[in-house]
Amino acid sequence: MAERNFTDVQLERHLAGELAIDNATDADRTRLGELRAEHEAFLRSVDVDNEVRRIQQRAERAIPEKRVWWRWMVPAGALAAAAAVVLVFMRRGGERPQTDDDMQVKGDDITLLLHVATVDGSRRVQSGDTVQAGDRIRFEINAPKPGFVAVIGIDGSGAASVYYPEGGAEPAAFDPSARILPGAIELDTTPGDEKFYAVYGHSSFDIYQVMNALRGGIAVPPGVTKAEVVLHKKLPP
Amino acid sequence: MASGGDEIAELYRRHAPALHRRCASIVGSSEEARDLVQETFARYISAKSNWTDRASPFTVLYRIATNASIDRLRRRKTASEEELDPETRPADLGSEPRRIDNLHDLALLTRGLSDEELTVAVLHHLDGYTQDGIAASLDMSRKTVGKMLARFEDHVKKRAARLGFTPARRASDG
Repeated sequence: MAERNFTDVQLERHLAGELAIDNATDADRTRLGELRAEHEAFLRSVDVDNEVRRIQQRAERAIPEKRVWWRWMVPAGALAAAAAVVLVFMRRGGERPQTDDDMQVKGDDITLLLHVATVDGSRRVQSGDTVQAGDRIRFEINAPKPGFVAVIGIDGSGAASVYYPEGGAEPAAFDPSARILPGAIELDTTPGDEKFYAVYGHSSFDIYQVMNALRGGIAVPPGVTKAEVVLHKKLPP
Repeated sequence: MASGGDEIAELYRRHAPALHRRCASIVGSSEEARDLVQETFARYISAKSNWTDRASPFTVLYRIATNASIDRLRRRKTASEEELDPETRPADLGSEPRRIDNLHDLALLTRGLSDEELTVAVLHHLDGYTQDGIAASLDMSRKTVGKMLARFEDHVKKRAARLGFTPARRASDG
């Protein structure tokens, strides 16, 4: 068998129209034929339109379409100066045995603070407080060490959204000196309690895995810490 | 919605077969691989505006698919639930992780790596790609590939030690 100049991945990129393979050997062309046949067989085995519909549904679940991100008009300093401490109750990892990964975040407990925009600035709210549909909320996270964070919400219908980073698939790097997160959300009219989770990891983590764990009410992955705030939502008359 | 149906369909026809092959080779199930391909495209579409690197769509999708597949293995067997199986521990993992035969162990030991590092590591240790082959396949420099593999090996050693798998302990076990 002659030597190959191209890897399978390169040949697949060629089949996808991304890469030219000018110096292909006979062995490359043989392998290319096998891969092409395999690809064609796969496409024959699926209903592409149906797959696309499912992909769109899954993508939509990951995008907080109903929330509008906007530039917060109140300077961070005003927020920091605002009222007495509020909120939050914070729980580490969940109901599971301690693991080695837990050791990494021992002492890395976090808190989540929520600020609701008001006519004359903002006010902090705590778990159990009532907010109105249309209220604009900004997040503040306190953690002692740099790491990675995300804010995930689960509304009254059980739909989960990534609020921060906006539409992100990966958590954002967190600097403990910059506790107020950029942007804000506007609460929609979905009835019921809304749960907000700040999720923190010493290193990056899979937002979707955490989201599924939160939605399913099971323990978040090892190495991840969460803080939770639940708000009651009042709908407009 | 970040992309229209026609655009996704075109993207799917172009890339799904290769992604399915990638996912199936890791999770060992064609049906589960199909689900992972859906997940891969959903992640790609929902975070499309956040992609700041200049990698091609294939490369980005391939990285997401690899990470999603390894992540699926982690869910099957997480570090908090089970330790590494002594019967499947690679002989020289603690000192020189050149070859990782057990996919579950790979999944446990690679937690915390980036998509890019994981993809490079899987191509090298699982698929047997050379550093030059990986560089050519993913449009990276060989130097970058070398650095990523070095980081991978360091990460695996530390994590193996953290999970109680060290050369010293193995010697005493044996």
